[in-house]
Amino acid sequence: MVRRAAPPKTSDATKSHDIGWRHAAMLGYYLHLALRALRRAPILTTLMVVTIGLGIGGSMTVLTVFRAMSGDPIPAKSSRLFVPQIDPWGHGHGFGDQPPDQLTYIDVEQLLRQRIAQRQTAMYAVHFTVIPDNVSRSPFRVDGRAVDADFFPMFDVPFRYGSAWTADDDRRAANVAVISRKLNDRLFGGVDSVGRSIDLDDHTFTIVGVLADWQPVPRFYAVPDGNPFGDTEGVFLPFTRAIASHMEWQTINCNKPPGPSWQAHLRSDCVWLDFWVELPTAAAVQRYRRFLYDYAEAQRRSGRFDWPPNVRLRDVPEWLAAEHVVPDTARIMVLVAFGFLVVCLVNATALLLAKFRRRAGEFGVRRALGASCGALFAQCLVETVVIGMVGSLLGLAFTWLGLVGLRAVLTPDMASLAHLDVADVLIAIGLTLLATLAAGLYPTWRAAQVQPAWQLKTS
Amino acid sequence: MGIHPVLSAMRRDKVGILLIVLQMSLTLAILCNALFIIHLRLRDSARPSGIADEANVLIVTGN
Repeated sequence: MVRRAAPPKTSDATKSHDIGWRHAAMLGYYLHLALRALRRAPILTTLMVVTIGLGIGGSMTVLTVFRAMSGDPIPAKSSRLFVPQIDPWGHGHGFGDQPPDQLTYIDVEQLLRQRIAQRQTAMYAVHFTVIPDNVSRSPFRVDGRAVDADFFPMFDVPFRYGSAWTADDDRRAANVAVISRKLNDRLFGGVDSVGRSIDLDDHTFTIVGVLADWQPVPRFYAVPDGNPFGDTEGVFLPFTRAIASHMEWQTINCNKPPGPSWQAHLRSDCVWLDFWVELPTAAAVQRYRRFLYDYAEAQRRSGRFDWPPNVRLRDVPEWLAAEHVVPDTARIMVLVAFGFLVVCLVNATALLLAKFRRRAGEFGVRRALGASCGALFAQCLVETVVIGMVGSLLGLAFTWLGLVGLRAVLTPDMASLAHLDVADVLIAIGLTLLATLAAGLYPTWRAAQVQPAWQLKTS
Repeated sequence: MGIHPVLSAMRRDKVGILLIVLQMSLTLAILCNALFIIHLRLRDSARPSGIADEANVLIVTGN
């Protein structure tokens, strides 16, 4: 049953490289024993591997999506980009103690004029119908965003052709546009379209730039008035142009109904605009905080606000947390998935225990023939690790299947979240090995405690 | 025959019994919680929308 019980004895000249060689030989021998043992109990082995694989597959599927959702969309700059918030309504208007997550046009106009930040951009989401030049093709809808020229350098937006428009274009409210790579492919077959024109609703715009692939996840700059996990907009155009052309907003919150005219809309206390600033140093952040407070205080003195200044200045991670971009249910899902993993591990432990216990006789013989407790422990550990390796491969396969299933169920916007990256695969493998070792530690320890004399007598 | 041999076998193998008890209670606890969460979700999504003639509301999309 057991061919060799004790490690091959080396001669008295035990040099350090001899010991190294001996360890390698023992490892090979344990591996051989482990494979033989696993083959001898194929059903039990399969059960263990499938149990571990299912636990890993389930938890990794959820963890992968969660990691994609809660990632830093702009790691190089997330602590230098800020959203100022100013409360234009006073307390008790649906946002609790917090100021609303968008701004009024009156405040945005002031922030733009004062230029306290290094870079700044106002923005809001717009929609267009694109009318292709080729009349045989039908018009289609496209999402757009009205922004200032600073938007592109602020958010490190990459260009494939051309560049952003200039601050002068902003001042003149020029009819210029930057389009996404996807829209460029659809309209112009992917060629350099800088200088050509595009018809959006009843306006004609000149294209000055085409974006390269750009898809921050989540789309941190478009949380209040867009889907944070949606595609990048097809068209960007100057904010001043959108205002001058009375372009319709997508989201608006009012504490009282504004008048019907565009002018009344601009002068109202309705919040419908996003605003971002870039503040490169702690001193600049401090200065901007002070400025926001003083601004709200000045509004109070002038009689527009009759409550103490209620302002916020949040960087990207704080902003994503305040806006609940990762829903609480996603956190609960992760907890449930890891609970499932724990259930699988406890089951695997029980199976492993049963397996090692059945082989107590074999261990007793090995002990009687001179194998140390440590040697038995090492042998069982190798067997556990082999199960863990196979389990992690199966777990990766289950994760992949789970993500394919999720992609089929999720809306196309969210489906891009369900992708494995290298880090996910490494996490999965590390997690399985840790989990298998945790599951195998007790059974292994028990197996190594076999009393040879007692065991041989009973069996 | 009776319950006695079963009990004495269980007494001899305390850890095994503990493991099975732990396994069953943990599995029940986690699965029941998961089912409860699913139940809450289904109840929320089955709520009436408040639109009077729900059966005859259509969504037309185009792109």
